[in-house]
Amino acid sequence: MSSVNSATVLLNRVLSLKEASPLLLVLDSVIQSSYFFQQELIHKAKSESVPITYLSFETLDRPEVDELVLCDELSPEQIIAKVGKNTKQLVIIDSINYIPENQLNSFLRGIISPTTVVCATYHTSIPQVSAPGCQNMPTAIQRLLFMATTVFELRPANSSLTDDELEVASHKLEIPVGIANKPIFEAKMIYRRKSGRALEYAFTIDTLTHEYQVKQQNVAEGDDAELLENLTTFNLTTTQKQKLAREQVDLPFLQAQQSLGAVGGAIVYEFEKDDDYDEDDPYEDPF
Amino acid sequence: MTSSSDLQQQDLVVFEDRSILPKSDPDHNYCTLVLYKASTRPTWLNVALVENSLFGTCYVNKTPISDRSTAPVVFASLSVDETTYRKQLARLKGDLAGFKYVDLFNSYQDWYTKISLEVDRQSKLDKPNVFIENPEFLLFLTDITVDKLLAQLRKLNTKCNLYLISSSDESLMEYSDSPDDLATVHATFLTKLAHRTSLILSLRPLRTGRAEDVTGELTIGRGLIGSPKKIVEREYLYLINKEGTVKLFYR
Repeated sequence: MSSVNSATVLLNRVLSLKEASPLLLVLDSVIQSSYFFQQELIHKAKSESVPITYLSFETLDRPEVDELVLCDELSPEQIIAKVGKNTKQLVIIDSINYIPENQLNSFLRGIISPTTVVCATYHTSIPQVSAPGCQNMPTAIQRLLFMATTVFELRPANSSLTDDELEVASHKLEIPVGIANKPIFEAKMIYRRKSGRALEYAFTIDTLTHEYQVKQQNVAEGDDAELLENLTTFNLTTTQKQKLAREQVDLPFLQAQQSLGAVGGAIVYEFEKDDDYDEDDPYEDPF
Repeated sequence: MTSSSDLQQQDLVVFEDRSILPKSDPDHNYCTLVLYKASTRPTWLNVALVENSLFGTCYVNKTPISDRSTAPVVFASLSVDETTYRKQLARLKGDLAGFKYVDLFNSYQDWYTKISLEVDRQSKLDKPNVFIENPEFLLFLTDITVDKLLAQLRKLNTKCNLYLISSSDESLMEYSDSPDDLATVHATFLTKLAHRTSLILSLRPLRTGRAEDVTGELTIGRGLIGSPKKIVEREYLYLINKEGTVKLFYR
């Protein structure tokens, strides 16, 4: 239960820009776009009074932000020049796909600063093609995934379609009616700590009520036992009593942690009854 | 097995207030994508949308539309000539003074200036609804890039509601690793365009095969950005008769 609570707390902290995560990468598709996710991020940032700069490559209507930069006719250098770096701010990029692949690193390096949190959306449905001469380089998405400190992968909520079916629909641009692009959606979050450890959670995000729920993983318990049933004439399964007995067995490493290893790093020797140890002999060392 | 003759004919409804095109909104300009396949050409739907904009009516619907609003239309096509649309619209017996056809079929050079001038002229009356049929042809006819074309369409969209009609035929969506491949360019354009739309209308043939009494499916779905007016997401079956009348049925 505590991990469920900590997951929503972490998501809240990331969206409220309280967690140290300078590059949020949002992976969306034509089946679930990042439009509502961006709205949620703007809502959270505004409630924390964080100034927002919106870099628009494709958005026509001005979102409720402090500064809107129309980027479709600007070079990456001109865009960097328009983004201030003095105060704490959130920079939202509505689509990073429009930055030429060979300028992606320098563009992000120019925008990210100790006081800035960047949230960039990458549309995964757009065909990925490497520029001539760059075929052996990592693709834009690979580099972004490497650089991002938090990754959100969006998909529709309560969809009866499998990931493969959604992928085919996205590829053919046959957007399923009544499922796609709703304000309630699922987001898989990968949060990378400074230590290098990555935490992975799946959420259902309701942007209408601003509520987040941890998506329960459907772990099928006891499946192994069911598979073994009636497989042979031998009994391969365990009874409830046997399971209980197995769970109560303390494994040796647990016992070791309780007493012997309590003194940090020290070598502790416990004498046994057959040990012949003479206290007066200074040269007798059990080690 | 149910055939379309057993089903009740339905009206075309796009928004929750039962309207087809949104009323002129000074704060928001809509961008709509109409997708079609090779065997389900969208001419009938284009005529229905143009009619709704010009007269507030819709020849597909049986129930008269009570809350009518009208707006001038600028129609530019790279694949269908003016006569075809004029002929179809003449059957509606209305005043076509508000319908301006920009001929890109015979001359696509200066396409942006031509449309933009017409939009500015019509804007003096009301915010126009601008239809561009097959804008993707410009990617192959001229040396314009995908991003440049999208930037120009966005500039146009700041002045009017935009309806972009494009083919999403499977052969055009099977892209490869080559950046100059026709399908790659087409799929890139359409997918990037889809991310700018608030409404997507799609026409496609039946997935189960061919039928005598069904021409295809029409789906009305949300676009990838929010729409100020709530969209009624729905799937219709449609039938185009020999006389050119169109019937819609719920799927």
